[in-house]
Amino acid sequence: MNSKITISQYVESVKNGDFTVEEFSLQILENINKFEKKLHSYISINDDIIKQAKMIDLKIKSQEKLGQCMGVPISIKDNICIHGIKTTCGSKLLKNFIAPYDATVISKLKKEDAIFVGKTNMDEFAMGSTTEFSAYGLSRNPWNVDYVPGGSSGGSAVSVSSSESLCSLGSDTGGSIRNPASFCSVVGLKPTYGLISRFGLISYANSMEQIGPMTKTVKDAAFLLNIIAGIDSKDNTTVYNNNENYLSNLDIDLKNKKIGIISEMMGKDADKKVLNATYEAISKFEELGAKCDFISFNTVNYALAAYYIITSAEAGSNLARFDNVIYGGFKLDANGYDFNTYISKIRKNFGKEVIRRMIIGGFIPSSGYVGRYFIKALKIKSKLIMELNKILNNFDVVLSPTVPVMPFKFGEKQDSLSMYLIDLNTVLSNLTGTPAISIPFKFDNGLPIGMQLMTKAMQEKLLLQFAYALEKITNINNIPSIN
Amino acid sequence: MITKLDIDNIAKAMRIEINSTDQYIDDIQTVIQYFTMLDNVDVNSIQIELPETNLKNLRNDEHIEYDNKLIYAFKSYKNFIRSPKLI
Repeated sequence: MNSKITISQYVESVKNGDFTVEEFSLQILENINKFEKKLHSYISINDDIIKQAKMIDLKIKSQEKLGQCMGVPISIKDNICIHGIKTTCGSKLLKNFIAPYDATVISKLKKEDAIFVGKTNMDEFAMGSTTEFSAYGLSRNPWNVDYVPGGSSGGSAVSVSSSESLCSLGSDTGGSIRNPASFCSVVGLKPTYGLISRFGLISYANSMEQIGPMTKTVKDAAFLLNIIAGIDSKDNTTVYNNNENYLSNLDIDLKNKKIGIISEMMGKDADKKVLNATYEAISKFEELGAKCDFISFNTVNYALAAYYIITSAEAGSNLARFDNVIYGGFKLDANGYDFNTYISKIRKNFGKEVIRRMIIGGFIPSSGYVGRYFIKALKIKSKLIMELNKILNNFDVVLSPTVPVMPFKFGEKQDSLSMYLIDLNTVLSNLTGTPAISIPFKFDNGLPIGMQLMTKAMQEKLLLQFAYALEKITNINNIPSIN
Repeated sequence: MITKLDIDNIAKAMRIEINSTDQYIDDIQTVIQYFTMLDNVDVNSIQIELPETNLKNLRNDEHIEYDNKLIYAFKSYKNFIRSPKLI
């Protein structure tokens, strides 16, 4: 049996009786046994996969009504809560935390009969772009295990690419879905802010982050988006999406459609290989009849600074709850400690990157600096929204490389700033709340390069249509041979 | 520019015990230095746009009985959450 299939192929095969859900789940477990030691996609694996698969097979046999996932094995980033399952957020601090409820996206997937394979590895509290900052060890890129898989949803991308799951849910605060999607050659979608409920997602920077699908194909991303999108009374920031069907009518004619390329996202610091790939993507779109034009968007130069200022300040506040009184899994009796000493002692267990961002997050809004950094960053955010909307009045989508550099080796980027600069092209959609998708485009020396498309808020359908067109014309082999 | 003393004070205020400030100082200084690029951008005329939520969309301000099991799922002491002493 081929486990390297898409969701649509899986659903079709289960419907036709080509294989049972149990047989397919066993195949996924076999892949995990084969590759996990090398790749480390998961922090924890669900022990009940086969039991759950058998139950779905029974439902099929007795012709009971079945959800549209039909037992699709999906992996979940370890910052999304599944009731009764350990949810560590890649942190030592939550090593024993058992989620007491389901995130809304999980409830929706359960209703559609998805099977959760396990919780995927991630940078601690989603702060990082390589998955090197996980307290549970790094994940490796399936295309070359000496290279980083990207992050922070690195484990999710690796699990999909290596067929240790059929698809995954990640979260994206500044590129955490798109960056690993690009580095591991999978599709990663960061939806419009508010399209998907964040209830049950452990917050890092709540004004920016969104849950989104990571899949082998654009169609699969649309399939998952159909299930998880929509308004939720438990998250007041969610918005009504008219029950859009993202899967229908994906194949459109791009003739005379307009694509903008922001020159500042193709800057002099970008890798030549990545830039050449982007020029190739432009040619591909032109072959399809689209009109591509370069535009200047000067404010983009300030986006990264604004992003790190706002997210660090929000992180400082959001992580205040991890005090081991309610959240935290350390066995340290509160007796005999005063409040501050107890909490400081516990929080010593944060990783270095988290501490770094919390210190920056404490400094930014402090007296004397709030106007210089934080208020200014918020104003830049507003300016970016205004100016991007103007650009998107003239163009259907904006194209850029997802990440301006090629996947790199572990430990290659030592200082924080050079690590942060990886997010140069992805933070714009988080700051502006607009949707963006990374699509596998080509390989250079065996390493993947992804292209990013962005469009106006709530226009996921249009974004998926453009992504589908690019995917169809590139037609690259997305299955790594893992050695 | 952020100093070693600033970092010590912020860490204390954020309630994080850190062993040595030295391991953070260079990195944090570089990042804060990068942020100073914002000094060159004129955004005086820009209004900060904050998301608005209509009052209609907020849930009712009413007492909802908590699930005892939920508290039990957290660190519990005779069905209470136990915290270190505040004073």
